Amino acid sequence: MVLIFLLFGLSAAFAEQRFPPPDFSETNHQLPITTTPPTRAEWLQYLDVAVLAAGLGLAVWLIYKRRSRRGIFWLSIFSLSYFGFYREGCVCAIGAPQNIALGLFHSGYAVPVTVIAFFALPLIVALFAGRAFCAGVCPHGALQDLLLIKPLKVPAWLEHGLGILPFIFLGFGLTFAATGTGFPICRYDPIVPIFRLNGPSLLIALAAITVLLAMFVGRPYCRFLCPYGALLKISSLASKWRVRVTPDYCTQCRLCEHSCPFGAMREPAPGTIEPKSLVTERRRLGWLLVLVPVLIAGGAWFGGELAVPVSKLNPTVELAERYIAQQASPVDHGVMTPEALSLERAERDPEALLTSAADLRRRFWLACVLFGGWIGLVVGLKLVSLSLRTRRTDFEPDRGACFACARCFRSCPQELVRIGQMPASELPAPVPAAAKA
Amino acid sequence: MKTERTKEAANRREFLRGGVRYTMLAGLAAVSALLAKKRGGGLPNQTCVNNSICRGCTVVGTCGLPQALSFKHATQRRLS
Repeated sequence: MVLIFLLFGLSAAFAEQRFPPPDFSETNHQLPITTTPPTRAEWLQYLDVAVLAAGLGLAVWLIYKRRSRRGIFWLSIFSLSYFGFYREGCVCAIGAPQNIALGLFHSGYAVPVTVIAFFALPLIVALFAGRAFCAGVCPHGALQDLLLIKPLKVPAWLEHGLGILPFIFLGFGLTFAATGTGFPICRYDPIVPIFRLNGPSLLIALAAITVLLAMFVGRPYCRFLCPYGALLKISSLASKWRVRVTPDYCTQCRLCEHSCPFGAMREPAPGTIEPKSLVTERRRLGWLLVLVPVLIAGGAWFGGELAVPVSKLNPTVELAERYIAQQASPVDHGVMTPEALSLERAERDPEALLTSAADLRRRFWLACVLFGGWIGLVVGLKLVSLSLRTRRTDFEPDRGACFACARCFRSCPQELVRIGQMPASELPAPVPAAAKA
Repeated sequence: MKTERTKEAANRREFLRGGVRYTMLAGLAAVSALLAKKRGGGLPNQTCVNNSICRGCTVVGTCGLPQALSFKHATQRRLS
């Protein structure tokens, strides 16, 4: 609460932002020049990449070899200090997909090598070892993990519903980045104001809400908003290794289920159903599979319809719109309109502006069609996944949802025996294979 | 018999998972290589991405725009 109060105190003072700026030609007043921090030395940028690579390697070793929650905890403290408070949340992997999208769709933008590395390295690791990046290297996750006081269980229906938001936010961010409109994932990041101890009032309010939520809901940003988490989730589904709670066999004591604050533990399931309901289940799955392309087509159509209003969020398109509106109904009072003045000050030729706006509108149409189709695909696949049955013989963390935080290891009696904290004689009897099946 | 069938299913799932994994890895490598090549090969239609503010810009090192060239020249002269 003190942190939230202090953050509000650091909020930037309200000031009227005007474009074009006021004319001070009569008084010869010089508007102050915007100053920005100097470029970070190149070797320091490579140092960031080296720290990231070392952090990822250490996280994998701690999760799979040492099975150490304490190690992961100290690694996350380091990551929070370095990537969070020292580097102030930039460069970060969460915003990197936007740079990649802009680099792919904009011929004049070159993505820095460090950003390519920050985008690719955690994903490569996730393809082999799951979400090791989330476990102890991501400063956003580390901060939320430290704030967790009393985790509450999120109902399954809400978890499933909110679980598609990161995919939608990812599509939204990539749409805006690919059209050169902006980087909304960075702009509306609710954690970065905490690292920078500064920010606009809206973001500080979002940061305060996130901090409050993180005290009672395990990693709310990671689970229900993080767009990079969506990419890591997809990669983790195909990972070579996975986190296993027990080092030996599962006695199904359910202790691990209660130790996971993120609802990632899945209980044993036979994977088979009664012959009576088999026909109904198969028919439902068939209909859902038919529904997926319908949802994609519907989403793409709806996205195309929204392209024109959405494109007005781009400043170039908005200026062109205002210029066209002014041309359609010219008001001649002997003074320049704000639109004409802004065009003159921005040194933009009206013809070039209109051509640029028309090109941007075309790009927006394509991006919105793809974004709409993406939402349809995400919703469709979510519905299909809910009707699929997976066979599990033991309590296992969900591949995509598990942050590999290592909390569940110490909850397992088998693990306690392995590290010598409990005599083997106190172990509960193993569940017979017949009972498991 | 049942165990054999379970093993077969597990192997099939692992095979498919491996296929998806290496396809994604290849895609990731291709995107990274494409962007790195674009960066190294120079940009014919280069446009400013930071409102003509070179100080603090992440791409100033490889930027070939006149303003960036003069900025780099000025900063090098100041350093030497």
